Amino acid sequence: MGSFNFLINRLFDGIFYLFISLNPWVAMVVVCLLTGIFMLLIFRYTSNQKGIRQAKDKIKAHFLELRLFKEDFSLMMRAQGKILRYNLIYMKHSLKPMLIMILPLVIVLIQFNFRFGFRPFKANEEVIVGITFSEPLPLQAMDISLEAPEGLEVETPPLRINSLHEVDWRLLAKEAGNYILKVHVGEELFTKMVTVSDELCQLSPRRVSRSFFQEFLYPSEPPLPSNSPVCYIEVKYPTRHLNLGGWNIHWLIVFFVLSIAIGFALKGMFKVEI
Amino acid sequence: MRSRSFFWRSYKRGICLSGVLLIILVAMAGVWSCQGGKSTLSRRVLVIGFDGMDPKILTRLMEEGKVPSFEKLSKMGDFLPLTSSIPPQSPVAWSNFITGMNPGGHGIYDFMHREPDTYLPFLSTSRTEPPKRTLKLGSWVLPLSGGKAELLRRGRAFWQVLEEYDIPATIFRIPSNFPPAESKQRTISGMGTPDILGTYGTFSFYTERPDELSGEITGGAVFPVEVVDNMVKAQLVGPPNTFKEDNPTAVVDFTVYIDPENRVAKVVVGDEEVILKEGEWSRWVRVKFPMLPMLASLKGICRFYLKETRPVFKLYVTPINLDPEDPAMPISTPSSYSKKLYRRLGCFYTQGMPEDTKALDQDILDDGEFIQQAELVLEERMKAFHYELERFRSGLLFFYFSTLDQGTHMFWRLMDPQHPSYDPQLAEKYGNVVEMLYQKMDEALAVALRYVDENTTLIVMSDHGFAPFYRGFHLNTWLKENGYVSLIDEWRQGETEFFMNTDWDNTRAYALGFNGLYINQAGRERYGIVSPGEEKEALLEELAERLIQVRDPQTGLQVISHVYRTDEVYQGEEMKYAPDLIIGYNWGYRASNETALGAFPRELFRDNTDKWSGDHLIDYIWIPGIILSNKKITHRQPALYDIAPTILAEFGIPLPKEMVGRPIF
Repeated sequence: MGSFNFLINRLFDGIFYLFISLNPWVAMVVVCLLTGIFMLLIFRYTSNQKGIRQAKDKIKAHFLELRLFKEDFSLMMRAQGKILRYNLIYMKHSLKPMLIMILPLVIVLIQFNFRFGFRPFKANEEVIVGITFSEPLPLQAMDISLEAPEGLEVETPPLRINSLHEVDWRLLAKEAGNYILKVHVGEELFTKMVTVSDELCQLSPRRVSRSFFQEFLYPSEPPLPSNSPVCYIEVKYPTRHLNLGGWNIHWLIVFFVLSIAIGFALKGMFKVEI
Repeated sequence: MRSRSFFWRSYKRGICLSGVLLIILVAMAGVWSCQGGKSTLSRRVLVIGFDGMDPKILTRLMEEGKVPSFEKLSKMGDFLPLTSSIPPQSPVAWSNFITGMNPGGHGIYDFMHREPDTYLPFLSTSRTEPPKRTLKLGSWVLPLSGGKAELLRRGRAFWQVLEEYDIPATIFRIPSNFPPAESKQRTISGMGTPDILGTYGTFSFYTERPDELSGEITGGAVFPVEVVDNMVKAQLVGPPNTFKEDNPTAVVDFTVYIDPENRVAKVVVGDEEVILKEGEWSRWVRVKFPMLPMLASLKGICRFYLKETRPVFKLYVTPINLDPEDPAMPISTPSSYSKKLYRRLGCFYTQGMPEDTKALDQDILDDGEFIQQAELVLEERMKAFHYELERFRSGLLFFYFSTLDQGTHMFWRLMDPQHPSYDPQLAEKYGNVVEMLYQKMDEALAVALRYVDENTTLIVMSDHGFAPFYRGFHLNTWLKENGYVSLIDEWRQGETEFFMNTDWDNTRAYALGFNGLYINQAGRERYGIVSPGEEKEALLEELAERLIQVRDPQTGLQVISHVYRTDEVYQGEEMKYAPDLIIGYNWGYRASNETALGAFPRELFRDNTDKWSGDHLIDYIWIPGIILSNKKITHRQPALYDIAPTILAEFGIPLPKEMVGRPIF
């Protein structure tokens, strides 16, 4: 999983490289365009285009039948049944590309979430870092400390919350940079990335323990060692919203609306039957 | 040849025509300029309002060289006392400033007015109304029309007049302008803007030992909490949920996790988390009160202050302010202005007077904690000040600072050994707070001076000065003792407020608000008994004469220096809620809070042992404000209502008829 995540991260870093200093909207529009085209191409080459065309024609024909023979009840009912049938056929033809698209789309969404879903800390902003253990431990008796590099300053002593198996600190982001925090738990050392920046970059809100599913969901950093008592180390990045005319919109809504609109707009150009 | 000469003639004709057109254009521009049209756009007028800046204190500090920027400005132009309003209360004074009229024109006479039909007080500057039409669905009540917040100040604001002449203006947190008067100019409301509960600021205090607090807590709510397993579960209290039958209070749960040993805690509200050490203030935290599931919620912002983790857990929460990004009530024009400020500056206090004087007065915050909180307010203001100055290209910028006023109210006691609340030990530590605040204002002025050029007129002003508040006078009790008021049950005197025990059929005059005295006039008051005309005139004369003679038995000093008849000192059409007399208290005296609320304590005076120790609700002659400018002031006795005409005159705009003031330059 580690190598896969490494490759995917580098690929998306490459795609986003041109946009890091630009308004996130620019990156969003471009990636929606790329995603729209990518989805169109997958659809074109994996779906039964002829079958889809035929199903759509049939549906149209039976709709026409409905309009022409409004007075004939039995004919109308038959036409409705056929519309339903060809709809199911249409869905059957679309199922294969949908299934093929679902995995890359989820990967894309995970990558986008750590770029558009959160924003890096700004200088002079407070940073909350928490380490969560997988089981109840005597936190007071344990030697747990946090070491911050220059550019970050630990402002509070550890806050140990036994009921949540959690230890938290508040830090101050003093200047922009990519930092590695060191968390000492007894003899063990764990690290965690923190980003202070004005740019659009990949963030890692959580460094998780080794597990296929967790690593898939949090690909930005390599997992914690598998025998560690730590469940995850979390940095609470502020949520990012895309602003449109004074409205804060969640990036996921923008992504789906834009990529679907782009897909429909370009389907003629790519000769794709949707 | 012919064609060449034709071309030449046409060319010459074109040159001539262009010349004539150019001359016409230049002439038009000149006329336009004289009329205050668009060509005056490069002209700038910067007005800075330092609420409560006192000329005596400022002069002393200037002489001591402690406020160099004020001294510099004074030498550049002028420095004079600025006559305040009658009475010199902030809503009245700022309304004079805004409209260029006195209360007869703008209709604001006091913090509180009374409804003649009920004798009950209401806030003078604004009124909110719930939706008129609703639809009931089970236990839910859906509004079919919007509620309303209404500004009760009358008359045109000077920035509305500027708008008519296309002069751009930015008005930052001017008092007496909530909800903001309709305008295309950028304005954001100041004093008078409520918190999310609709009050002028209600703090919350969570403690394991509410019994440690003495007396009744006003201006805030105290919530007893328990620490269980190093955890506190509590609720932030919001406004009544008008979407539900019986309007239950909207609440938001929050949890505080406390470290078992270290003096640090984490506050978790919804998705937001803050970690605080003891004695730290949090950043702004967003709070969302659910009103209608999935459909409607009310957004607010607050700051937490972790006062103590152990042995007694104590957590203070500021009044929940309207969220500037999505305010539940109108706080700016255009509505996008507050959002824009939020995007540039982050969250900021939107509540009218954000310095929590009530929390200090009630010993919820101590002096040091209050100063910290006031500094947070000032820090935000300075950020906004820099931002607005940076983009101030033309037109008018008004910017308001409240910190000095609130600080002087609370710390007069520690710079005046005569004050009943003076504490020499505290004075050693905090006796220079007022002076320090003047120096902070000096720093703000220094910033402004950097932006002043030859096209900029700078006016620095305050609405009033300050005086000590040594003794409170129970005016209603005096009226009762002198036979002007009759009570229903004598033995219940002092037990009720709002004239609950008043026998109106035998009452001729009553006091409500901080300076107002009303005749119980037949045909105006519901149970009025004094006929307008001769009877009223005689009573007014008698009251004025006798009130001037009141002496404090403890000091022998005159309590009231002047009594003003409103029909003599006010001009205008907005006299409906005007008191009949305005009481001008002498230096050191003021109406008691009980008087302001229509109560009758048994004694006539009380020593003011509160922390609210400096005041200005007295005779206006004692506490003028200040005016400084980089221009020479020719009008040697300027008053607050002269500033609006001055601003208009600076842009060459003719003065509206209704303004009673005149330009000072």
